[in-house]
Amino acid sequence: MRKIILDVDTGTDDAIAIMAAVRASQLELTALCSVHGNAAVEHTTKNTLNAAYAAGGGTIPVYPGAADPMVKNLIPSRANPVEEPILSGTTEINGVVVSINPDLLPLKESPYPPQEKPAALFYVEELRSREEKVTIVATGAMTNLGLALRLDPRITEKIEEIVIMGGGVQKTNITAAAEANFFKDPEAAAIVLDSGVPITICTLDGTHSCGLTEEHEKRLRGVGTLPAIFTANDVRVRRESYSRLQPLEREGTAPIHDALCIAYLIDPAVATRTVTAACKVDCSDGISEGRLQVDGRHFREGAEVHLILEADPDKLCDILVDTFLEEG
Amino acid sequence: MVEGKRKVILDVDTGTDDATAIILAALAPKIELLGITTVWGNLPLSVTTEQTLMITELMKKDIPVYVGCPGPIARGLYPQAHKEHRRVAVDAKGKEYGYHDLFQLPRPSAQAQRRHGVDYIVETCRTSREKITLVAAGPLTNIGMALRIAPDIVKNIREVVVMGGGITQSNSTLCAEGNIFRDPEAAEILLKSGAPATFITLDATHRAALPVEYVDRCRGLGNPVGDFFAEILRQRIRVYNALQPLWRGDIAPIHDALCVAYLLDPAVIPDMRRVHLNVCLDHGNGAGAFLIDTRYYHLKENANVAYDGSWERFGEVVMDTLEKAEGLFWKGEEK
Repeated sequence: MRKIILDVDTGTDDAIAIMAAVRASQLELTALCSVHGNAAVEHTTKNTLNAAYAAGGGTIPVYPGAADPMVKNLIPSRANPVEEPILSGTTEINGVVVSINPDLLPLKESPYPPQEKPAALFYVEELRSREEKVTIVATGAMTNLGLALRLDPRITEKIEEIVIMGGGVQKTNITAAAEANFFKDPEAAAIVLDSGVPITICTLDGTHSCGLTEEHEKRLRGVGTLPAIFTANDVRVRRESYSRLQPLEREGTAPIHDALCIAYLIDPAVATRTVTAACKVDCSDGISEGRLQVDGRHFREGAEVHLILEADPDKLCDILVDTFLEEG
Repeated sequence: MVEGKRKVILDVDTGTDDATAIILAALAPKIELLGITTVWGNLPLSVTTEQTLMITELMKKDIPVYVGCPGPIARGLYPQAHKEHRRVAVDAKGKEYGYHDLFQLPRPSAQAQRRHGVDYIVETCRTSREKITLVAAGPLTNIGMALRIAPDIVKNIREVVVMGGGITQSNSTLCAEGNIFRDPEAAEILLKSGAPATFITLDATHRAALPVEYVDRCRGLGNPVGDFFAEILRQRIRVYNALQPLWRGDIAPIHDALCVAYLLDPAVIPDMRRVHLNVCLDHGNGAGAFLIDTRYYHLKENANVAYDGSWERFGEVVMDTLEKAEGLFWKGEEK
């Protein structure tokens, strides 16, 4: 069974990823780390505890992570708040309240507290002492991993692979150039990509290509378990808000980005178009900040990274249905 | 717990002047030296750690040493970044040497602790019943990391005393001092953290540079620690005369020791000012420079900055403290 650590800014789609990781018989979720992103880290920590608890993984330790990006906020022009009309918080648009990632998720409160140890220090201690390698899945800003790799670069010896939701090649969201997880801590993303660990990125191109439909929502609801209904509800909310604010190429579909990372680990066949490319992250103070830069030249400057560019929505739904079939 | 003593963690990139800071902190009765964390800086992390262990062994004191960060928080990610200007002197045999290549001590038998230095700082600050003083004698990477990873520790930090920065003086570049230049983001994290921060600048350390008479005075103490201190001062004077002559000849700053001396006697800094301070984080000629808000309508004060140092006071603190080493050794003991 593949051992994984999940690093999340929970967030509804992170919550689905957590529930899938807890439920999947192919994966052993050994720990969770929270990070700033969709909401303040206090909230994402709480949401992480509650999502794990809801899926029957309440005793999996949750390490509270960084409240701020590594260095970005130190530079006034980079720290300016960016309008995020649909990506987090609650917004009213044309009289309709839209909330993809509310501060606190509508889930039962977990009776388990978070760990004392901050996430970055947990990574160093855990990876130094463990015998076998672990896969890390990062579905928020990569601040915790960036800090841990700067604390002790040798921890890479114990990391089998890092699977990331973030970045976009043709697609972006938070700015014209960047996807939110990369944009919120470009330095951390750059450190992770340069770390030498095998990297797979579920890009925004990949997650947008496998948006779920009303049919998928019905199938999930029919499963009847708590994680399946939570997912079905999120698909409904997202379909509504994406149609209003950010219509995808296939009408009426909604991406549940972070869940694709876990689906990919359960069955890599969900990814239908992938490339290996030399990549960097733009850490500059300008309009390209946080951009995933893919080197199309012959020279290939940057880390060789595995990019998921397209995925199969039916397959994604199949995997989630199978995973959520049994009650926790 | 020892009443009335300042609880101190020393963060060093040893380094000859770091070595003198460790010696003063380990000997001074007013300081309870809880532990030492090492950081990259003057030399690679493996070397600064080994040299730190050499000093704790020389002191015959059981001070735990924790290994910290091997490089800066974010520098290195920016391809356009300004490069440091590093000079070396050449001796009569053609061998190159700098300020920190001067260690002639036995290889240490003790080992560093397993726990990461930043983990140690966070844990100590979180669990101590008294507030902790951090003395940072190298790049601020470990301190910046600790504050980024666990911002809650601010409430249990009494003061962070930093050797770093300069007002009119610089060394690594035309306007930046080495400890700040090597990890400016770490310094800025400290300045924005709300922790009480005091900067012992190059302006203070250069003015408090010790004259050559102190070589003989230290050696006259007749103990191995005094001898080691004397040798460091002698060699630093030689290098400063060759590479970086100061306001008068035959003197050398021992920067990091002045931070510890400041804890023992604030009068070593006759001109300390409360200012609003930022560090320049760009990648041009200004990288790592101190930006002090001198306007009448300045931003809120966030740091104490040392504008001057007294070599007379500093010399007295050094001699008073080194005398305490006599109890550690008996006369004539083999080095």
